[in-house]
Order: sequence, then C-alpha cells, then structure tokens
Amino acid sequence: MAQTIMIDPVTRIEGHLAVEVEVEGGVVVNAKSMGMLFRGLELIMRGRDPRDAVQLMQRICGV
Amino acid sequence: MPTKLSRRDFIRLCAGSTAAISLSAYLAPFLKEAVAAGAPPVIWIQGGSCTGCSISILNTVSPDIEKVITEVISLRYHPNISAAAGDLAINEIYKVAAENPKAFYLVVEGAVPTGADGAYCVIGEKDGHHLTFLQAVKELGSQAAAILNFGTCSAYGGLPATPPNPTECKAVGDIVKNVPIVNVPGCPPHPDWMVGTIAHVILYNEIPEIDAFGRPKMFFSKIIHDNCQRRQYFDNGIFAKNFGDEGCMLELGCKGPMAHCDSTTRFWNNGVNWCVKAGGVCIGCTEPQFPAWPIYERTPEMPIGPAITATVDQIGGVLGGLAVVGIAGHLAGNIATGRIGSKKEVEKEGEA
Repeated sequence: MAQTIMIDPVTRIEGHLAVEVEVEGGVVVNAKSMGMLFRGLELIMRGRDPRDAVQLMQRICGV
Repeated sequence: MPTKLSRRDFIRLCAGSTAAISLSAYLAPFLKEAVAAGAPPVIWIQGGSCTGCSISILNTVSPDIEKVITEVISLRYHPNISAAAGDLAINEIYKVAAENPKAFYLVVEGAVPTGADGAYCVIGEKDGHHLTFLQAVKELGSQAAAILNFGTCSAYGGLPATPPNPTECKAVGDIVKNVPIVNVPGCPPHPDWMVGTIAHVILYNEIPEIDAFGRPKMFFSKIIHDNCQRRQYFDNGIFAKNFGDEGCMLELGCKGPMAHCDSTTRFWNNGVNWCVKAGGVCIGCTEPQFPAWPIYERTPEMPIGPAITATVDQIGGVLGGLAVVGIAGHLAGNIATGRIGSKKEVEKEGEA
C-alpha cells in the first residue's frame, strides 16, 4: 500500500513549490512537483513597448 | 548606549539616514533589547511576488542579515529562510497568529490573485486542502495588529496586477479592511525602508505616520525630482535625447517628478549608487501606477499636487518663460520660487 507524502510549501526556495511523493515499502515509486503560482507575465507584456520588457520581465524572479 | 530611543530621534534617524550611516547598524542594539523584552512576533508571507523584496532586505549589510533576523526582529516565519516546510510551516504560522491575537505583525510580499478563487497562488496545504494566498491573507491579516506591505505588489498590485491583470491580482488593502496597513512600496523596497518600518512597530508597537498612499512619511515624503543630481539640467532646460547624454532624462521617460522616495540621498547597495546616478531613468517603482505606465515614454501628464496635473509641455512652457498654466504643488513651488521665475521676469524685461 503506497503512502502519499505531501510537502507544501517547500521552503528555502524562490516561489511556491509543492512536492508529492508516493512511498511503497520504503521506496519512492512516484513523485510530482508542482509550481503553485501563476502570474501570466507574458499576457501582461503583450501589446506593450518592447523596451518595457527589460523592466517587466526581469521581475519574473527577484533572486 | 542609551536604552531608549525617542520616537522623534527615531524618525529623524530614519529620515536623515544617508549613505554614510547604516540604519540597521544603529538601530540594532535598541531592537535587540526590545526583542529580548518581548517584542511582537513578525510573520512574513509571500504571494504573487518574485521574492525580490526578500532579496533586497538581505542587502542589509551591517549587522548582517542573519543577526537582523535572529536578534533584531522576531521573525517567526519566512518562506525563504524558515527550516520548517510543509505542515510544520503552515501550522507554525497559524499557531503564532492564534497565540498572539491582534499582537503580531504580518509582512506581506506579493499581490493577491483573486481570480479562480485564488487558485493562481497556493502557498501550502492546510487541513488537507490547498491554502490559497487569498485565504491566508484574509485569515491572518484580519488577526494581525497591522499589515506591513513590503513591495509595490502587495501595496498597490504592482506587476502582476498590470492590465490585463490575467489573475485578477489585488493589493492587500483591497482584501483586508479594518486593519492598519503600512505600504512600503518599491520594486524592490530599500532594505532600510523595510528594516526601519519593522523597527518602528517593534520599538513603539504601532505603525509609523503614513501619507495618503499608506507609505511611511519618514522614507517617502521626498520627491525624486526635487533632490535629483540632474535637477540643474532641468532648471536650465537641458534634456537628454539619448541614454548617456548629459541632461535631465524627462524626455526618456523619467518618472522622477512623480516618484516619492529618498533614493537620491540614501543610495542603494550599501550606499553605492542609485537609479539616475547610474544613468537610468527613475521608473517610479514606489508609485501605485507602476508598472502600468509606459516606462520609456515621456510621461504626457504628471501629477504635481493634490488633484492637479500638468503636462510636460506645460512645464516646458514655464521653462521657456512662455506661459504659466495652472501649475501648483511641489514642482510649482520650485518653479515659482526658483530661478525659472526670475528667468521669466528677465525675459519680460527684455520684451519691454
């Protein structure tokens, strides 16, 4: 019988990450990782002055 | 070392602190004492953010950030720093909130996506369900003594709330009402602004005096344009046409006349430099309009006083001594009392 372990949030990383692991008899049999944030920055950039991309897209990640 | 720092001295210190003085180094002993005496806990949560604000506060140089977190502020949870993950982390947040009703401070970094019931940002799992950032802000925010919005995203919506705002992001102030809110905007905010604001609530257990946009007056009462090193170019009507040119960068899209903060004197990266001195335009990152406005376009209209706007052309007109068109407020003060006014008189005399 597989046991499911959910780690949400994963801390000490940039952003929002969750990890779901299935363990069977002490062995990992399946694992998923999930990004938990969507901002749609590409959609915000659409139609704007290309020069704005320099300022907007660098803010995808501040690390 | 004095054991008590009066609020007047504190404000003077925060407002006057320049590149030469490290704010947090000076505040550290006082804060250490306050924390030891039982200061209110601080919880830091992140939503629709890039973590840039957290990275900026890591730029607190002296004392190093490790000391700031462990000794200077009673930070009980931070997603990038806390060792606890998963259930442990979420339980700790809610435990601190439950044990300190209306007596802890909530730092929020990032806008609050409200589309799809907040599903665009899930910050953890609580009781076997996804805990959306929207839910966390509502639950924790309403229990907090005050909310400190660090960064333009949590303060005003910022980048994720820029039209077309795909995830229907909102500022924290639009989600939680009836709780005192301090906005510390900036993209990112200067570490001193964040440390200074936390220091104020820890030392005096209440929020600092704020302006109409919720910003602490001790950091955000200055206008970039008024203290800009290139101000003389503006007064003399010399405008840069390209980056690298001499001159005021208004024509290149500088938002200095609209932007409130003290970067001109405080400087960034431990007092090394700031945006305009490095040759870039001010992008006005501390303002609610950021970054929806065109960044590298000359701003057609600029608010120069309460409910009063003027176009750059009008100001240019003043500069040329051609016309004064209903200009009041900060800029007008400078224009009316400064050299531009006298220039106009000289020209009038010339005409006569």
